[in-house]
Amino acid sequence: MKYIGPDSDGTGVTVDTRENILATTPQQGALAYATDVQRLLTYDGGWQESSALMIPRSGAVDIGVEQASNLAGYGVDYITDKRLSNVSIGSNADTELGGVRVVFSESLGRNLTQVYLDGAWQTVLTGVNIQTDAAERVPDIEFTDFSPWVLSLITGNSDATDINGVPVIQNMKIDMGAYSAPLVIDGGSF
Amino acid sequence: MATFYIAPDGDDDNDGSEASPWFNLFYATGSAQTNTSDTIIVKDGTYAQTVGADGDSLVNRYIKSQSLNPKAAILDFDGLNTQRIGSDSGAKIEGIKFQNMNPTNGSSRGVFNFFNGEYIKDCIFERVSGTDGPRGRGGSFHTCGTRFESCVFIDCWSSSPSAFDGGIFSTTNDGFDFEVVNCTIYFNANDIPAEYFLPFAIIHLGDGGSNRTATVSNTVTLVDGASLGTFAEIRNGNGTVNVTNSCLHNAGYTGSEAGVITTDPLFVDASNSDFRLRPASPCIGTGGLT
Repeated sequence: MKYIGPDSDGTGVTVDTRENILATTPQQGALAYATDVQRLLTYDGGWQESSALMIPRSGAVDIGVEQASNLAGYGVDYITDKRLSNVSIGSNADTELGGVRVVFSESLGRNLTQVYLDGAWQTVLTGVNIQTDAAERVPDIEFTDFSPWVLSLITGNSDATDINGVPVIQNMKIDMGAYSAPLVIDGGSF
Repeated sequence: MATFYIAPDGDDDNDGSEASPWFNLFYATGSAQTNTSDTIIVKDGTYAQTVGADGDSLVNRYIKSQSLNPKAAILDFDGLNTQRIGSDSGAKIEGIKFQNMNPTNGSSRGVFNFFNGEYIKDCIFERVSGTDGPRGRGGSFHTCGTRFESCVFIDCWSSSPSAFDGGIFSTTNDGFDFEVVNCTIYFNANDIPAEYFLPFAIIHLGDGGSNRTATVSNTVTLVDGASLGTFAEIRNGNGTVNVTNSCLHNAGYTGSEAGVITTDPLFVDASNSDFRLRPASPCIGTGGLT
């Protein structure tokens, strides 16, 4: 165990620039804080510089630093007011509300993004497209992603038209023959 | 997949490009000119065709009019002894009118011989008829896996006085199913030579198989001048004809399938080929969602 005590000036911790601190030769075990590089230094026959930054902001909690007390009202399990860069979400063994993971589905043969909600991993719908199929007789608008997911909304009119250009299906009804009667008045004036 | 063109002012000596189109459809479909999966666009106009088909010339071609309006793109074969128009695989035809196709020789199996999953949409066929000999045996359209959708058939017939096996739509062997959906079929018996009328039926399932299904839905058939003896002829009882939500007037239909009526469809003016439905037509809103 090394004893850390006051230096020759009677100051507990020297606070100065890194250059000035390194120019001194204090007592063994002296402690200093370099304001320009925000690092702690200890003297053990020579100055030893910490690898981690010490940012003197009482309201912030740093990633990876175990907090002995809740200085700003946040617990050690929280990261707040931070931006995560170059981070990927992979597997997640914790089945807790709000958990996020990306997993590969063997049955579907593709990756899924999932959120843990209501006691189960719920797949997030991604890559959704909206299409109307002109060659299709059934009247609908389709939200499509991959082949297992097709959501169709019925509009009442078909995309496909009859020989006279009128929708084959209008208002969910279909006429016989090749000439659908135009039931819908769309635009124009009397 | 390349795209070629025919146009009323085209010439078969051209290269088939849009700037230099051909004239005859069945020159364009020839294997020396186009390949399977090629598209042939028929520019608007009336064409007095001078070249008949050459067997399986429609194989897998996609033939459509530029405007997709069959009243604007008309191929007239009058006076031409059209050869059998065949397709062994997946031809698609859209928005074209074919008229006056009356071959009197060649092999059997229809004027159009569709053999594998053809899709025919928004087309008009007028007087596409086999009138004698083996032509009459196969129907105007010998079909297999073909779907006719929103097409009009005017004065089409095909029958042989010596064999009771005509029909507009005909098929033979097992598995040769076909569909007729949202189509209008009209003919005036007075336009058909009497010796060919009596054996005539709209649907004909000929000899050669026991497992064929013809599906007719949302289709209107009107026969003027006389009544057909039967709507569908099934040789030896082999095969099935399913008719749903259709209007078969004077068409020889005696069944009781769902949604099938036999009253007058009330076209605006059928004798002048105006097959729009009058407001009081029983066909409005009575088709089945297919």
